[in-house]
Amino acid sequence: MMTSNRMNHSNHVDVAVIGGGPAGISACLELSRSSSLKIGLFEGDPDLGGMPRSCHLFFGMRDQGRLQTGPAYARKLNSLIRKTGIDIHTEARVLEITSGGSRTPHFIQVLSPSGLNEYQCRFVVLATGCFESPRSARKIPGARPAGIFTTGQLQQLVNQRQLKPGRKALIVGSEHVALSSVLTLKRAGMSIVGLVEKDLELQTCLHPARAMSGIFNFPIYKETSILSIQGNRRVEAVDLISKKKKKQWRVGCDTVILTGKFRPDSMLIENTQIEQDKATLGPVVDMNLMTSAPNIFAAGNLLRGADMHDLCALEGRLAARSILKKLESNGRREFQSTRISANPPICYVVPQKIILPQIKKRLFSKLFPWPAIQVERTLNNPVMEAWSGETKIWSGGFRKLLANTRIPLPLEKFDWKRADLRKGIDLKIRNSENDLIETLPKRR
Amino acid sequence: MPVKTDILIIGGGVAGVSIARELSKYQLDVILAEKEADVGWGQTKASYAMCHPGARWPPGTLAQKMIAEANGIMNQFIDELDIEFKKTGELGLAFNKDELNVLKIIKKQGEHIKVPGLEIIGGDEVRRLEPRVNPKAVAALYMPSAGLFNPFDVVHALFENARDNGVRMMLNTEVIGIVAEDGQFIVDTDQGQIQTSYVVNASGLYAQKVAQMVGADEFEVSYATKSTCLILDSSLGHMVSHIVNGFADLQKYTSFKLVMPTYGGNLLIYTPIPVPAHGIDDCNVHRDTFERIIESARDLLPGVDFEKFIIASYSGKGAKVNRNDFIIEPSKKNKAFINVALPAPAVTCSPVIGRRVAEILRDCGVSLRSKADFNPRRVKKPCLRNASLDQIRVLTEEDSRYGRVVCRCEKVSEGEINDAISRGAATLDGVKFRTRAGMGKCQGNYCGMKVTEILARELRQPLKSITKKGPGSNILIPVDDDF
Repeated sequence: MMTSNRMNHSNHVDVAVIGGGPAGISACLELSRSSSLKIGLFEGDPDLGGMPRSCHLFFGMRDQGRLQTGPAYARKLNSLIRKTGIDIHTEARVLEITSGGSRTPHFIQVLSPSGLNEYQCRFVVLATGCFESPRSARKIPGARPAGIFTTGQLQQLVNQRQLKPGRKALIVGSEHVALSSVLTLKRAGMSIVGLVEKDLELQTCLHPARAMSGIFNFPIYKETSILSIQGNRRVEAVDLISKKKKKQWRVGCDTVILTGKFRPDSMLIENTQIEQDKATLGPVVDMNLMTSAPNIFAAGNLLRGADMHDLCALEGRLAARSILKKLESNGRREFQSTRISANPPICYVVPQKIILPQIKKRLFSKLFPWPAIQVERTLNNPVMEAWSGETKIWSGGFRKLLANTRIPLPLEKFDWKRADLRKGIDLKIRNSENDLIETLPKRR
Repeated sequence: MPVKTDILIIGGGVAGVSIARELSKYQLDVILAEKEADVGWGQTKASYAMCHPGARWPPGTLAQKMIAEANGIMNQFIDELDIEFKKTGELGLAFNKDELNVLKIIKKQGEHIKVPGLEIIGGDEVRRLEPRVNPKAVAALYMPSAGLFNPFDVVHALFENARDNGVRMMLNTEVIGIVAEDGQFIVDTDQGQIQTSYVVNASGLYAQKVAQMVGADEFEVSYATKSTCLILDSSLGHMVSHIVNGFADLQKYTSFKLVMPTYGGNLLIYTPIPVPAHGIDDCNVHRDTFERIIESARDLLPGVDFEKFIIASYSGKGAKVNRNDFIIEPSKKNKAFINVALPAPAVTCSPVIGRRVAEILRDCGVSLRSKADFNPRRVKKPCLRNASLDQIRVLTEEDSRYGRVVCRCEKVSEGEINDAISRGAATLDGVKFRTRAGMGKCQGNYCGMKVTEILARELRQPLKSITKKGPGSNILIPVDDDF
């Protein structure tokens, strides 16, 4: 009864792509290039392009094969997709997904100023992206005044609206995006009073960070955290505490920029059948980027928080190709697969499900969508191990594992014959001293 | 020329607006003066918004009496003003015999004021009701009548209803001095003078300071310490369905650590960690509190990863009145000056605070003649997040702005934001507390600027004059040298 009722109201698409950033648009382009499927793209904002719209750094290397600015890259994607016959819905917010099965359709509810519409779809690609953690998620103490922004907000203000949020800013965090906030602040003509990183090491490439610190004349405080934000109305100062130097001091500023610590925008999968990874908070996917719900795929930063936009674009393509393959095989192909999980100091591993026949030696795996991990903090001389139950199926030493950097897994080197696929694979990191004691005699 | 009125209420917290709404039933001229840009921004904002059954308050206190009265008329109150309220029940846990004995005493206190349904339940029953609760809990006092409010909605409902029934609201109006002469008060504010026959001092933390202005400070308000609540992501919202608490101090059994759902679908955790407050304005969250609150929440719910899901934190003063009870009384020195100083749980008592003040005014000789056109109801527009798909369909057909989602975490539409502004929100926080825009996972990261722009457009003000919480808190510093 319910279903027949639904049929009457719903519109139909073969593939619903949710999110009009690099991942979503790339999925659409790939699908429209290689098939005549009916595709609907749903974007909540009034315009397409996602995050690159407000960034200004280097875009388009891996997917477009050329370098351009963020807005130019967003415009390029926009013009490419407008040339296809895809139904583009902007200001269209997907409120909920009711997942069907491999043979039954999914339903999505889409709200836009023109009303609430239901769409029936065979496939869904989730590409809703990520956002930077708010202030309390970073456990930043102190008062709660105006003047605290994330990089995303700062970029929207400065690059999209040509507005200046304040005069003097303190930057919190040192992931790549912190450097982007340096440039954005400078573009707005603001001065930077410092960059604060809790960790011992900067979470981005050292040389550009040092160069910027020199050119724009601001100090970088490592191993330093915020003791308190001061000012009841607008930020007046920030009290800092240095672990190493055991000292506290006050920095005057009217603006605080919180950078990095991205988390997936996974609202749509919460409380649904789509399994959510406790580590990433995004959906659990296999190497085809399919979630635990049949025919629902996910791509881009929704999988793990921010990575490079062009990787997201490639992931969008991969999801699209997986859909096309699935249609070709008529859903009959069963793959041998196993779950992979990680222990601290590894933050996460994505995809979380390894499909064995797809493991091949890949050149440049760093550049393509491929199972990868990230570590909590920069590690020197660590040894990574993969275990299946009680059996070690791989171990490898590294000179350095950088924090907040994607580290692809050499799955082809794992001894898969010894792995018990039902037990899954567990990744661990041991520290090098232990390792030296164990392995030195063997080397001799 | 001073503005003239019969009664001036100083302070727009839950007490002030409750009094304003009650007095708006009568043929009286009433002004409410609030120093902030909106109502409910003092102690009320920092409350954890429980509706207490009252068993924990000692017999014979005014607080206990008023809680009982309030609970008696709660349903009508909620219904008339369409207040966001949910009855959840409360479980007070005991981890040993001593704690169980204290719970038994609390149960007796509760029975004295006829709290319905009080029951001591065993560990198995506790786990049946709340499967995630620490298995070490041996028993609990079950209080089925406890519930939770949206504290902002209580204040806004009372504020809007009072205003619609004729109370003049003066926001951004700070009282600087009061002179009593010829049976009248001349009240100096930063917005000019007000001449009034009666003053109701409901200024919360500032009650003693305001009373001092006319020498009517026959009590002391202290705020030496502050404590903090953490709000967790809605994905932890269903970790518990009841308000769950345990004793926090093992000597006196008077303070509680707490894990509770919130009306908006989040989880709230709290533990009394008294941190010294530096002055009356100090609501800074202290740096150690995050870890300590999480640690004690784990005592109640051991298996939950709270840390990953913190989205907001706020501190409030553990204000104390030196008599350890509510004060609602005329000053002995000047009967026309009525002091109202309410430590917790003022929100629970909001249905009856005004009534008590009205009775005192009547005893002082004010004639309370009912207004024929008093409208007891507040009508609220529906919101997307609580609407069914069919309701959303109707809403967007009537007004397309309800189809434009501005805050994606909490599903707040442009229509709701416009409605909030027309109901009195003039700041980013004002919109947030009325609509939940900016209260979700990303805390306004996505919608903050969009809301700021809507405020500027609707209030016909330049973007740079829009504030987070009133004068001085501009979102964008008004710099002259734009790039």
